[in-house]
Amino acid sequence: MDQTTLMGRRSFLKRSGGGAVVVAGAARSQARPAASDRVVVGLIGVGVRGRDHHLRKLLDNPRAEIGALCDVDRNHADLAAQMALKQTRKRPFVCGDFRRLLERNDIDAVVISTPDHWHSIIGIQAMEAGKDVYCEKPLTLFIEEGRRMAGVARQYGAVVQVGSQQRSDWRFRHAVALVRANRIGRLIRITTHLGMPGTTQGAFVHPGTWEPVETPPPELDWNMWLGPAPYKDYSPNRCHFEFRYHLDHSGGRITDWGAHHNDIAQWALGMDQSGPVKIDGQGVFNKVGPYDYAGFLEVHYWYRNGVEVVCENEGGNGVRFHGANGWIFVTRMRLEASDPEILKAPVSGADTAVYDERNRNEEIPGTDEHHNNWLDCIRTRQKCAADIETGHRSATLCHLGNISMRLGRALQWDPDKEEFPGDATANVLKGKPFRAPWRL
Amino acid sequence: MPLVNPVVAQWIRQMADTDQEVAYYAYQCLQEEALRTPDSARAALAGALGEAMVAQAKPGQGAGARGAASFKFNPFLTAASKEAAEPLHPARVRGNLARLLGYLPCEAAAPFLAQALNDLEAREMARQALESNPSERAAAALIAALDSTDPVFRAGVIHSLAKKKGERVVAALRSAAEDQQVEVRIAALLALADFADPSHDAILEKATRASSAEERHTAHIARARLAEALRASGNRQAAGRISQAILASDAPEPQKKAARLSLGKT
Repeated sequence: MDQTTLMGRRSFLKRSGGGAVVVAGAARSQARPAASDRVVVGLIGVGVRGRDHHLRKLLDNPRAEIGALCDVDRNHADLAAQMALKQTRKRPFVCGDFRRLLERNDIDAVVISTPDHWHSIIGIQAMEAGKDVYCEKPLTLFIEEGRRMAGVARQYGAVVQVGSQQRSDWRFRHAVALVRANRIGRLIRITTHLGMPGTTQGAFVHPGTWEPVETPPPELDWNMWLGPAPYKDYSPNRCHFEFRYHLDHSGGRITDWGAHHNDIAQWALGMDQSGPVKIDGQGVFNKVGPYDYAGFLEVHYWYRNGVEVVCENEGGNGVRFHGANGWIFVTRMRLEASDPEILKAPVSGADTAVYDERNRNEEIPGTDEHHNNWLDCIRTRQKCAADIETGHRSATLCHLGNISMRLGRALQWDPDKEEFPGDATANVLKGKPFRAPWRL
Repeated sequence: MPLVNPVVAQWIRQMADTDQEVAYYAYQCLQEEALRTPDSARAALAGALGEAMVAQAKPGQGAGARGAASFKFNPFLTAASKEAAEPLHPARVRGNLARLLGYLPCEAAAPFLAQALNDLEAREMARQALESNPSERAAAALIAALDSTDPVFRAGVIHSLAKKKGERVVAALRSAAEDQQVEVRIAALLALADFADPSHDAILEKATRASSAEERHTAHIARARLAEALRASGNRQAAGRISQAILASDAPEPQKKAARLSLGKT
């Protein structure tokens, strides 16, 4: 029996910070705190995710104050500023260059909701400017960026929350706790299902449509949008939401949904500080463009403890844990098991608060709790539920899958040294040079 | 069986196609070829791609776009460009070829990439490919490219040199820290911080008193980075000295906090 399965649920929660999260959350006052106790937040990237998700939620959160907004698209910035002004009657500082926001001493923390290719540069500069950080998932676009980010976070004592908010959703917490408490027997395999084309969850797995290149619209600073990514002429289906289908800006499906579900797999395995030792991925890359990510994929990961993780499109959307004595399936808004009794694990004491019902009906489950956990940790200087090392390792799992798929072969991985032993080509793909003048 | 897939030449030509889909398909095929080529065939593929990247056309048969468009309003250059050899492939193709060579980390790719550093339209991708190339030739080519004039390109070259090793690299970076262009000096400060060498602190400390506010700001960050690099390399004594110096300086509060944490003072 491995160490993971021997760990009790209470000790697991203690180690994972779950207990601390809950106690802090339970003690939280619903009244609006004094201004000096509120965290003044700057949002960098206020497109759909930054504006309709983070800004809206944080405007409603009495413990946060929106101090600044930044976007390379003036329309996005204006919409966000209007939203903030309407609710607070205060106009936040607005800019198009994140460095102007980071210069401000009145900003305590930043939320980064830019395309993935910007995360590491903005994250590191934010921490070096003394800010705490909430960074959207996936934390990085390349493996090497994450190690650097984690180092800077430790050096500056920055509190970092990665936007894998499923860690703050009671269903996923419960599922992971049950697996680690051995409720389905010895863990054999975890399957992470990222959704199929043609289904609701997989509706965006498509090759895209070629559009003629255009002059960027006047409200958009295209050069700044591209930042460290290789120069490409502007076309609408490269920009904004659709960045996630281009490997210069994102890892595609496996880092989009994979950053959520593979993160849960790592958590259940107790591998937040480590990773697999072998990867074998097969993917179908779209060769007619314009989207170049692997829409169809199946990646197998093997860990030192013998457990296999399979990441694939098929099987809906969610995470399935296969044990010697049964299975558990968890997705947003749904938790199932081979035997319903498995889910009725006794809970007691402070741990019961983990199963907080407040986020049961959130449109994206776990979001409020994830924000609150971050705000708690900014105050207590504790590690967040999805801290930077965790986010780096979970993103790495996704990147490893992409690298194996792109190379078309199985790979050995050393999770301690974070390298592919003796594999020059694979090691090249751990990172990527940035377009000048950008660097980490 | 040939070392290089005979279709490679066709894909290279196809990358110039005006139909985006056709050009994209060719690039994807070449990318797969580059990423999946066995070690034994890597140099040959690098040669094929590299030769195409630097190939010159016969007069009147070149890519043409550069002379006609960029120099349209300069009568002297237009006249000169009619006489000069033109690249065989358009800029987009040459840039893509440079990028593909970045997936072939071998000595054979370096000379072509070094030559492409003189190609104004492909040099940025060539610079990035050289950053991924482990050969000494790559480092030498990057050092030579510091003699160019565009400060943004030169800053990129310095970022690439920060990933290299060797006395010549360090000497070039130390020299760049005294450059006339502030963008280059700033890039050099950050690059020097990546090398766990305590002697670099004198350069960084001096830059904390520079006339440019951005340079001063970068110098403070670079000092904190250098202290961390030294700590990580095991030279805690030197790291401690720099951290103490940061605390005693007019560094911004975040860098002082990092110094305190490094010294174990919370």
